[in-house]
Amino acid sequence: MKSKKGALVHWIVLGLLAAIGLFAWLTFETELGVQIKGEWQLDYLRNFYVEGQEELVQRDQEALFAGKEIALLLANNGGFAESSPCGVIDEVYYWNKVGSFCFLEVDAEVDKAFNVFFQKKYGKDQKYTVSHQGKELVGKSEEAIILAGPKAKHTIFPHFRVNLGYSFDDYFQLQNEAKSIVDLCKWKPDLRLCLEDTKLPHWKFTNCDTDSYTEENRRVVFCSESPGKYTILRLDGSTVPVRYRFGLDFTTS
Amino acid sequence: MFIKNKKGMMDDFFDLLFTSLALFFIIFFVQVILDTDAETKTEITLTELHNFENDVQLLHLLDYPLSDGKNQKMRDIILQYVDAHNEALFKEKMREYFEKNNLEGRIAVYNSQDYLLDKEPLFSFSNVVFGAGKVSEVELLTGNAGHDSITVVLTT
Repeated sequence: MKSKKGALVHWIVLGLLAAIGLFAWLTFETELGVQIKGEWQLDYLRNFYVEGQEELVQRDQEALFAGKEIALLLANNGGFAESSPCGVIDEVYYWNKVGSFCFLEVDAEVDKAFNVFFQKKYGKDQKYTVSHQGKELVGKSEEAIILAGPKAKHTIFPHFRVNLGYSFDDYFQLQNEAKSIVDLCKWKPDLRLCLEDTKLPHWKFTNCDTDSYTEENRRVVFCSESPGKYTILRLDGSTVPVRYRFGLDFTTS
Repeated sequence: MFIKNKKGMMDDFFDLLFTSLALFFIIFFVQVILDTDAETKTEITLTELHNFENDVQLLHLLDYPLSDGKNQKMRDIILQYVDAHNEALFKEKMREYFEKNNLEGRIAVYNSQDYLLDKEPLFSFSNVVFGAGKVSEVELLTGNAGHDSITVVLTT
């Protein structure tokens, strides 16, 4: 009886020690005492928020580069990203065909050209809905970038708004001018004389540097300086004037 | 005699064992409690906070609009200066920024590959002399053939 009591006390003490041991083992990796203040929050800010902001800075930079390049690319293709419905002859994109004009849907062409260029250049799957607002190029991303870690998740949409220093609105003015020229000259037998009298100073024949007239089956190739006198400032600091190259068809039937 | 006292010895042994274990755990917990240095923890928090502020400062620098009439930001001209190898203009612009923002530190631009290999920067500007500090870095794609990307590093 006496030894049983003693054994009970021993078992209790043993149990207590075992419990303390178990506690110590389970909380081995847990910091006891005063915790670091704001550890999770600062970790989130540095590894998710700042990372996200850096990603957005990079995306802006890429969009700016792509936007400037496609502005020049489109200008050389008469504003068309792929092919002109009015035809492409000798790499010249035509704006009209016999009696009808193939008016540009500028934002649709910009959107198409931007996405092709962006995916090719940067190899990113991100699809953007791109439009222009004045001199700014605006891109809305359809997919989010998710920065995920064991303790947090940060979602950002890499939209962008970059200032190209150039407006795609040039096309509207040029197309109006083109329509006037075609209406005035298509019935004239001496097409060259009519065009030389009618065309505005920023319009040149064939090439903006040589301005030499060539005509083939009443089809004429033009090069126009930017009506808004826009230039593209490239990332290397060089300035490139925007010049539009397109063809007009002066046939009547 | 030996056999007779064996039970008592075991009791004593277990008493000693339990006392030692109990003392061990008591000392362990007391030490954990006493060892918790609140000041060190606060210092860690402050260091992390300064690192975050440094990250934000670098983002601010890169996004800083320039009043050059060309709607350019600091990151645009950094890329231009790297491309044109124009360290003088880089230093001038950085000095202006550091002075305007009361910033003390060093900004360096590396070819990203060189930065990983711990090589010398392409350009750097510093308005203080110091060994180490808070370091923040951002990689920028250049779109140029010379340097695929550059890494801008701010140390304050």
